[in-house]
Amino acid sequence: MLLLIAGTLAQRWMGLWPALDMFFSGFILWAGPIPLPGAYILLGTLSISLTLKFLLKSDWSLHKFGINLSHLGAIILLLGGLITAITAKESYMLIPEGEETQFIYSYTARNLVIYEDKTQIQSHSFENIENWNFPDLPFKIEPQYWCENCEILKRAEIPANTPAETPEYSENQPYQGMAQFMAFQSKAPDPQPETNLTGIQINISGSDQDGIYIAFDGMPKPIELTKNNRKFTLVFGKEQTALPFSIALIDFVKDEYTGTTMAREYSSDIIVKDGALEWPTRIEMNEPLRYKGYTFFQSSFEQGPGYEATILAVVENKGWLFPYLGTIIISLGLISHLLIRLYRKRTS
Amino acid sequence: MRILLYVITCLMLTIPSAQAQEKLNHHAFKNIPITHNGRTKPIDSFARMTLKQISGQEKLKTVSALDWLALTIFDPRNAANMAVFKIESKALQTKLSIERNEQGLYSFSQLQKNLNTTSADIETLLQKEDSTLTSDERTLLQLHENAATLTLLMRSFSAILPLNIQLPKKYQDQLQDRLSFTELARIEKQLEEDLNLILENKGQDPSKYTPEELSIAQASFHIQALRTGGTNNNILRIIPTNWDNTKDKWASPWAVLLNGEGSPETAFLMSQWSDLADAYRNGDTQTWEIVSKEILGETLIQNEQQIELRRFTVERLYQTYKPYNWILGLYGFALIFMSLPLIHKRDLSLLKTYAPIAAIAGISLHIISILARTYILERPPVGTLYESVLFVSLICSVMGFIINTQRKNAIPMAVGLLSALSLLLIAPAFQSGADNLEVLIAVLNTNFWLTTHVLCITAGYAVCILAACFAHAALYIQAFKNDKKLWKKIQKSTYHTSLSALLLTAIGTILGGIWADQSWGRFWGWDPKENGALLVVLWLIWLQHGRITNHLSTTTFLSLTAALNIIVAVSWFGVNLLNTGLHSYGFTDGIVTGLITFCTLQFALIAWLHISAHRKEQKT
Repeated sequence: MLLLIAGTLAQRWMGLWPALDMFFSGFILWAGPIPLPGAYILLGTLSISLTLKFLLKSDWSLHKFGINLSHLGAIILLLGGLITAITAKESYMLIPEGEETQFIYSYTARNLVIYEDKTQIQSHSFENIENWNFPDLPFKIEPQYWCENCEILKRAEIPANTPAETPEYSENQPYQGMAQFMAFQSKAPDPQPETNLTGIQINISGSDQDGIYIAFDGMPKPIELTKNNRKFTLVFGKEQTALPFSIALIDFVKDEYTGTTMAREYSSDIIVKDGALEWPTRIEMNEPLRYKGYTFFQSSFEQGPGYEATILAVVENKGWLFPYLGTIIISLGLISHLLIRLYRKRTS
Repeated sequence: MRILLYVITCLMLTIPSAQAQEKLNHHAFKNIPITHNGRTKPIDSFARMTLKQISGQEKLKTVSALDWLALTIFDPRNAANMAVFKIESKALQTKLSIERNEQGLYSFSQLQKNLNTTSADIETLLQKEDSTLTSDERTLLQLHENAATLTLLMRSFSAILPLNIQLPKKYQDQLQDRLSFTELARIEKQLEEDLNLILENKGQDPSKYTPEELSIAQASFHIQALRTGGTNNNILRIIPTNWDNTKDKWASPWAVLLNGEGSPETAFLMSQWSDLADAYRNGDTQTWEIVSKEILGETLIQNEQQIELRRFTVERLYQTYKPYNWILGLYGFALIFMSLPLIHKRDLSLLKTYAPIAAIAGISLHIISILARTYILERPPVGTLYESVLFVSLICSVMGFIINTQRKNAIPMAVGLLSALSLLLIAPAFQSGADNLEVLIAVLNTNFWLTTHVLCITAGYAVCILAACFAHAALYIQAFKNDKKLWKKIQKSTYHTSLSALLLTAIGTILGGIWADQSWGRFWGWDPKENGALLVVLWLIWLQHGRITNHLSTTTFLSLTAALNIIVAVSWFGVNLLNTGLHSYGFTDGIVTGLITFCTLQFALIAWLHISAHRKEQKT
C-alpha cells in the first residue's frame, strides 16, 4: 500500500512513465542509498504465498468454497499480471485515409536503420548509441552529438562552442543535408517519452558525400549516401516492426457533440489484409480488434486540410484473457461466500 | 476562451429600444429546443444556465431567466442596462472603478468602458498556465468570458431585429419588409456601388457629403459592422439544418445567414423568429404566445432527430424544483426527529412515525431525481464526479434504511442519512460549471461500462463510508457507553458492511481493469484513479484477513475500518487533484484544503476513539 501511494504521488512530479518505471516495474526500489523491495518482489512474494496457502493450507470444506474460489481468482489475476509484464509490447500504427500499412512503431524506442537499395541491412538502437559499431559498411559513421529530447535551432543562430556546434567541423567535412540549416540543443526529456523529439548528429567519412549530418524523429528526408556505386539510406526514428499482415484505412470518423469540439465517438473503418484473406471491420472506442495475438485500439488521430489519419494503439499481450477469467472466478467466489454465509445464518 | 471587442455601440445606435414589456406567456417559448454544450435542451434550461454563469443565480430579483433571455436577444439596448454581472471581489471592483452596490450586480453599460481598459491584462493572463493564476486573475478572466457571452447573446438576433437607419427613398422602395440586416443585405450590392461612386467623387470626408450620400455611407458602415458582429456567433443554435443527414446539426440565426446553411425551411423558421422579435418589441402578448407556439411546432417538425417534449418537461421540472434541496431538507428532518428522543426521552413516538416517513420521502425523491437525470441525459446516472457524489449519497441512505429495517435499530439509518446529507452538502463543490447536466467525452460514452464498473465501484465507496461510520459508532459505544448488546450489533453491522464493501470494490476495480483493457489495451496501468481504487481494495483485504487470522484486535479492526473514510476520500477525490493519468476527466480544483482538513479531523477523531476504547477495554 505504501508503494502504491508513493508511486501514485510520484506521477505528479516525475511524469507517468518514469514513475511507473521506478515504482511499479522493478525488483528493487532505491530510497536514496537504501534498497527497498520493488513491485516485482512484493507481487512475487504475494503470489507465491497465496499459491502455497491455497494449495497447502486451504480449508476445503463447503462453507469455505467461496473464499477458496476467490483466492484462486486472485492467483489467476496475478499470473496474468506476470505474463503481461513479460510478454506485453505496446506500439502504435499510423494509417492515413486510403492507405495501407503493415508497420507498427514503438512509443519509446528509437533506432538507426541502414538500407542498401531498399533492403534493411543493419539496425542500431539509440539506447546503445555510445557503443555503435558498423561492421561491413564501406564508410564510417561516428555519432558526435545526440539528445533524447532536442530543440531544433537554426544552424546560423547557434553560438560557437555549444555542444551542437561540434569542434570536428572543418572545411573538409562540411555540414550536409539538413545539418546545413539546423542544429540541436538538448532540453529536459518530456515525462511522456513518445512526445520527445530525439535526434542525432553524425560524422560520415569514406563515402562519396562525406560530412556532418543530422537525423531526428519524423525527419521527412532520410540520409542518402553512395560508395562504389552502392546506394545506402540511413533512417533514424521510432523503432518499427513489420506485422505478418497489413491494415488499410477506408475512413476515419470523429463524431462531435453538436456545436462543440468535444468528441462523442471516434472510429476507423478498416480492411484487414492477410495473404489472400481480406475483410472489412471497424475499430471504435471500447471496441478493439483482436487478431493473431495483436490487439488494435482506437487511440488517436491526425487531421489536416484534406488529410486524415488514424492512430491505433497496438498491444501484443499473451496474458489478456487472464483478467477476464480472474474476474469471473473472484466474483463467483465472493458472491458464493456471501450466499453461503446467509444460508448458514438462516439455517442456524 | 473567447475574447472580443466590445463594439456594441453600433448595435445600440442601430437597434432601437423596445416598448416596456407586459407579462409574457412562456408556455411554448420555454420548450423551444436549443443545442448547447453538446446537448439539445429546452431554451428554459439554457437561459437558467447562462444567467447562472453570469450572475451566479438562476433568477434575478423580479425577472425570470427566460424573461432575461428574451430581453437580451430581442431588446439588446435595454438589456445592456440590466444589472446581471456578479462581481464580489473588492479588488476587482476597485480595478474596474465601479461603485459597490448592495446586490453586487452590475450592468453591461456600467462595465463596458472599464472592461476595455483591462483587455491588455487579459491577453497576458491568457498566456499564463491555469494553475499559476491567482483568484482575482481568475475572476477577471471569468468576467471577460461572461461579458463575451452576453455580447454574443445581445448580437444573436441582430440580423433580424429592426434597424434605426434612414435610407434614401430609392432604396426604401426596394424593401419588402421593415428595415433589418436581412433587408439591407438585399440592397447591399447597390449600396456598395453607390458608395464607391461617392468615394470616387468626394473622397472620404463626410462633411462634403449631401444628406442622401451620408445615409448611404452610414447604411454601408452598419451593414459591415453588423456582419462582423455576427460572424462566428454560434451561441444560439436554435435552427435545425437537416441538409446534412449524417448529423443532427443545429445552427444559430447568424450561421444560417452567413455560412450558407439555409434552406426554404430555415428561411421560414427565421421569418417566424423575426415575427416573435416584433411581437416582443411591440409588447404584443397575444402574438408572442401564438408565434412561440408556431416556432416550437415548426422546429420539432424540421428537426429529423426525434425530440421528446416529455424529456424537456422532466428537465424543466428538475431545473425548476431543484430536488436536491428538498432531499437535503427531508434527510435533515428525519435526523432531527431521530435525535429528539435523545433530548426528550418522552418523544419516542416521533421517532417511530415521523423519522421513517421523512427518510422514505427523501429516499424516494432521491431515487426519482437520479432516474430523472438518467432519463434527461439518456445515459447511466454516474459519469462525472458530481454525479458520483449524488449516487454514493443515495446508496448510503438506502443501505442505512435497509439495515435499519433488518436489525430493528435506528443507528444504521441515522448513520446512512447523516452520510447522505453530508455528501449532498459537499456535492455542489464538484460541479464543473453552471451546467450540471453534462455530456461525456468519447471514452466514457459507453453505457455498458458506465452501468457495470462505475455503478459497482461507487456503490462500493458508499458501503465503505457506511462501514466506516458504523465503526465510529461502535468505537464510541465501546469507549463511552455500557451497552454491550448494542455494541455487538453495531460491530456486526460494521463487519458485514465492510465485507460487502470488499465485494463491490473488488469486482468494480477488476471491471475497471477490463474496461481499460477494452479501450486502452491494458488491464492495469498504475493510473492514479486505478491505484486509488486498488488502495481501497487492499485496505479491505488487509482488514478482513487481519480479523480472520486474529492479527487485528476488534478495537484495531474497528479503528482501521473507521479510517476507510480517509482512504475512500483520498481515492475518490484526492487522486483527481494529482491531475495526471488517463482519468483526469474528473479533475477537481480548489478542494485540497477541504480534503486535508477532513482527513486530519478524521484521523484525530479515530485516534481519540481508539485510545478511549482501548483504555476501556483494558479496564474491563
